[in-house]
Amino acid sequence: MSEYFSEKRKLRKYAWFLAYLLAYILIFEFLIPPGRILPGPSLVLESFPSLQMHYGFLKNALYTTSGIYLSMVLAYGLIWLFRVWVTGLLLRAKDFLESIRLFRYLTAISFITIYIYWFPVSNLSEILFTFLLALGYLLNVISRDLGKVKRSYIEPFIALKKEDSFLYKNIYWQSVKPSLFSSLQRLNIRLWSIVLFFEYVKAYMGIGNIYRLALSFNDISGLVAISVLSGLIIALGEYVLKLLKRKVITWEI
Amino acid sequence: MAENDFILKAEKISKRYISPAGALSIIGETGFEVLKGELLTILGPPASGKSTLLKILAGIETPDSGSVTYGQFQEVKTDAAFIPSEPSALPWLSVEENIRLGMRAGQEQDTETVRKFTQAVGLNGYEKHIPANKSTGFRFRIALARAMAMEPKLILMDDPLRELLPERKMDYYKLIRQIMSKGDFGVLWATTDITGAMLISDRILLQEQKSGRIVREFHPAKRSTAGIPVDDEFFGMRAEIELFFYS
Repeated sequence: MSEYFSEKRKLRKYAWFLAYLLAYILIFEFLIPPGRILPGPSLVLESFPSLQMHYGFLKNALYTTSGIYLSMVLAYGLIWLFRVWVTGLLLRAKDFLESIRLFRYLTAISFITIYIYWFPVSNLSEILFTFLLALGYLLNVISRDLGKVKRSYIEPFIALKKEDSFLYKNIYWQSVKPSLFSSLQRLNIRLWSIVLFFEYVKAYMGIGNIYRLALSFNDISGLVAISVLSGLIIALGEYVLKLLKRKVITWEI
Repeated sequence: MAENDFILKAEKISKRYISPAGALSIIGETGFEVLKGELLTILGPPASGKSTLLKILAGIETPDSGSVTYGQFQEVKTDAAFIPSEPSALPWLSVEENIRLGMRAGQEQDTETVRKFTQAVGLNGYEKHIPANKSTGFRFRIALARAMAMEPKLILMDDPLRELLPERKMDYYKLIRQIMSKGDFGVLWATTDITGAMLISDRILLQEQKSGRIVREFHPAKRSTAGIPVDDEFFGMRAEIELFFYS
């Protein structure tokens, strides 16, 4: 029954998307003079080939995409490799982590500009930046969810006097895995937003840098075309992460 | 009674919590023994400190004062296995893996032992099933098999069947008595279920809500193979316990 309703909801979502698309075509192709607010769909379609010609879109898209997903894989892999230590450390360092959360009032621009000031412009520095963001985000998710692990899962093993490392690996880590995988989907969107902004400010390479160039040329149809293509890449990334979660996580806490 | 007949001896256990309103006594000096092969029930109204007492005995919480001693036997055994009030079967592991996780290091690969315990709790054929979305009863069976696989001297049960309907509970009461007849461990059960306690316990200790102390001891009628006689004596004892509960 619930599957039926979720299918229906999905269909409604697609119907709304088609309605938005149709409205966009009607308004900006036929009603409003082109270029005033948004370019007409025909202009955007014409811009796709020129994105590659004028801005080298493919190379830049590959640069940003590989940087983001490589960083995510590295961050998750590192946490997985040291999961026993990470779990133990995060459980013991609650006060320290609370104090770090005070920095949330500093906006992304503060970190981006200071980071660019510290590190020279290079591919590696961008990957390191994205990796640190992903690592920090995932550690924050784990630390938050460790507090929610059910006592009823832990207590039988404390009674058996199992070692802490046993609890960290077999109970705590497994308990936070579902929300960790869900958080990868949120991380996907957040990383894209921050990394594009980072590239925009850094003015070196990547989709963010193309945004900056297109804006400097007042290329509104180019801007819309970049948005559509990067949106598609982000959606594809989210779809893959969702599939991965469905394959790996078969339980909910 | 010989010195080594007890599985567990709790002496003068007390526990207080500090709340904003001041120190709150959960368990006031209390003590008792659990004997070999015995099913001892601690019966008390909600919030009388039963769970805290069980957690102290399991080594999960530490008492403010008093001591917990487990009897010394020839066989190498785990002191106590603890079954919490909420389902404790891990939803990311199969029935079989849940049981293995509780086994002693080096024994986890012993398929025969796993099969023995799944059979004992009526889960044979379900070894590969995942407990997520299964009933409370199913998850209780896993918790029970895992507890037994630890080869404990004592199984501490913190009312894991409280969510079940009374008619469903009977099946599990029978199961507990059945596995006890085959093993040489004791069971200490904390519950609010008066009828259940009278039907399966060898001894009942009443825990008072206000002081958290054990204040009375009851000995339900001797069990026969046909079960326990539900007669005037049974109802008389039940009325006495109810009076204590609701007064």
